[in-house]
Amino acid sequence: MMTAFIFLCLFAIAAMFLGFTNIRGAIVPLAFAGTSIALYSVISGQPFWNHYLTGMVETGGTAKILCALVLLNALALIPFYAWYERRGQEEVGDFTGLFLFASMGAMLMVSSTHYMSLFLGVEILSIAMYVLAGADRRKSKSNEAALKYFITGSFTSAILLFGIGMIYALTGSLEIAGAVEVEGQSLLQLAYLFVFTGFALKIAVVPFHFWAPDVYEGTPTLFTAAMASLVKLASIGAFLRIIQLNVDLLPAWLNAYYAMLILATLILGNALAIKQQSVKRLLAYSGIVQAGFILMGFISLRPGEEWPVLFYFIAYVLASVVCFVVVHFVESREGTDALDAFRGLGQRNPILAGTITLALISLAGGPFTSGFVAKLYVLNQAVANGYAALAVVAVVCTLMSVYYYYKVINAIYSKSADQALPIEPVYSGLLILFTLITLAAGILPSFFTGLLK
Amino acid sequence: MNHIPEIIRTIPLSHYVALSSALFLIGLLGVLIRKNIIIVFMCIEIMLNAVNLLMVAAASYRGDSAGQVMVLFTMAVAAAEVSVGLAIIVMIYKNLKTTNIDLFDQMKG
Repeated sequence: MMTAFIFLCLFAIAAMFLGFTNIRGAIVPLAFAGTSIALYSVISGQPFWNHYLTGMVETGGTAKILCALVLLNALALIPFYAWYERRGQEEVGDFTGLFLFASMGAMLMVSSTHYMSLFLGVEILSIAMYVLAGADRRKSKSNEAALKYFITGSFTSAILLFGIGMIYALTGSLEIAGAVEVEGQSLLQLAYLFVFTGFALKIAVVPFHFWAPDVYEGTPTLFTAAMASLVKLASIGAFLRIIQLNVDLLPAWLNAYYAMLILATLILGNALAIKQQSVKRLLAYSGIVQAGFILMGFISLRPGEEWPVLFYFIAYVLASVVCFVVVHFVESREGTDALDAFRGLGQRNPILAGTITLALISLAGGPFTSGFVAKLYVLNQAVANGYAALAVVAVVCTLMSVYYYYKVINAIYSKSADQALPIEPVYSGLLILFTLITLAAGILPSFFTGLLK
Repeated sequence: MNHIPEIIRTIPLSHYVALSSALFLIGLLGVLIRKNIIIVFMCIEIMLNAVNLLMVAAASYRGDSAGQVMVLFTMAVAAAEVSVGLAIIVMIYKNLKTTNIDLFDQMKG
């Protein structure tokens, strides 16, 4: 595990230095190789140098699966950053390096057992993402996105840190699992409320979602893809780990808090998504709604029952990566991500059109896709834990969401006289691969759940 | 001469908690209310430093060094955040010539 951290950092630094040289073409393959080595060292679980982690990082169990998912997510996104290199942009080294640092922070977040490493992970991830949000520094929209992300992000960290500080003052321990019965029980619950609210802000669930659509819209789309997949995966994963480690001590109001957040997220998120004209904003709201669904798997979480949440991660990450990458290619040609820019995509590039259509169907929960199975598992768990009413609302909201996903698909397959939109075969191949995995996870979910259990 | 933890302990812990909560609230309200980005930025720093105060006080009351080490990490992280944040503000100022938060409203809906 330690070697994974070291390799990610080394390759990130190497990528940044290579950005100064003339061999920028080597950066993305190198980053891909580094991430693959890190993935290998996580999966093989070799204990080399692990004693330097001083017990602050867990190397097995759910932490291992989450780390592997984070690194697979990074591997899925890194090849697309070569697009900047092909376009002759000099900053490709910085972008790739920062993205590797962000992945390393995400890994630290989902594997920490100590609030100190958790906080460091949150900050390593966020600071890299603030810079990436403003990557397109000549565009004022990207500037604005970077500022909004920075202000809300550091505000979030401060709230999270205040919760951690209160927990420390009350229990005298920074271990995540170290909370014991203390005299100031109500104050400890307040501290947990701060921590959970900090995470809710990071995950962007209603009513803490206000920043997400603006930030997603302004950020360069390839980094929006990282924000929607990597950052969400890391925040929800770290949240899951905190819940897991404290499962006996969690306050009784927590399920009511989740239920309230989920209800607000599903209803308001869908209602706000319907009137969006920008596809990126629509996908941002869609991400908010999906996060609400993932939180449903958190209700009355018992040990050994995390796999529906983990399966949902796979489904959501695959679909959102495909969606944002396709939006990126359309946007870089048309200069806008409005719904009109997608008209006739079915004729202009059938591969882009087909992959985004299947990804949107997966997000909507259409049958034979991983999104359907993931939703089914999570709803099943909510019903089994006595939240049938919530599950009914969720199903109704899913039906509502079909409307706005259909709006995009309808635009894609309408007629258009525009010329073809060719992309390089590597990218087509990757998009098709992700779509095939989405379908495979929808048709043969038992293989994937077997891996996750 | 007394040790610093002993001097810290001459004031009850609840006073530290009250002070740092008050500082945190001031910072929080500042972020929500103020219009100038630089001031908002300072308010975030106040929030982080309120937590530092709480951590140091709790650490010396508990005789535990973990809280103090955490404060060092928080300070390093806050410094990194400041450098990135100021860079973003400079970039925005170059493009838009303003630091008023209300004028950053290109994206709505």
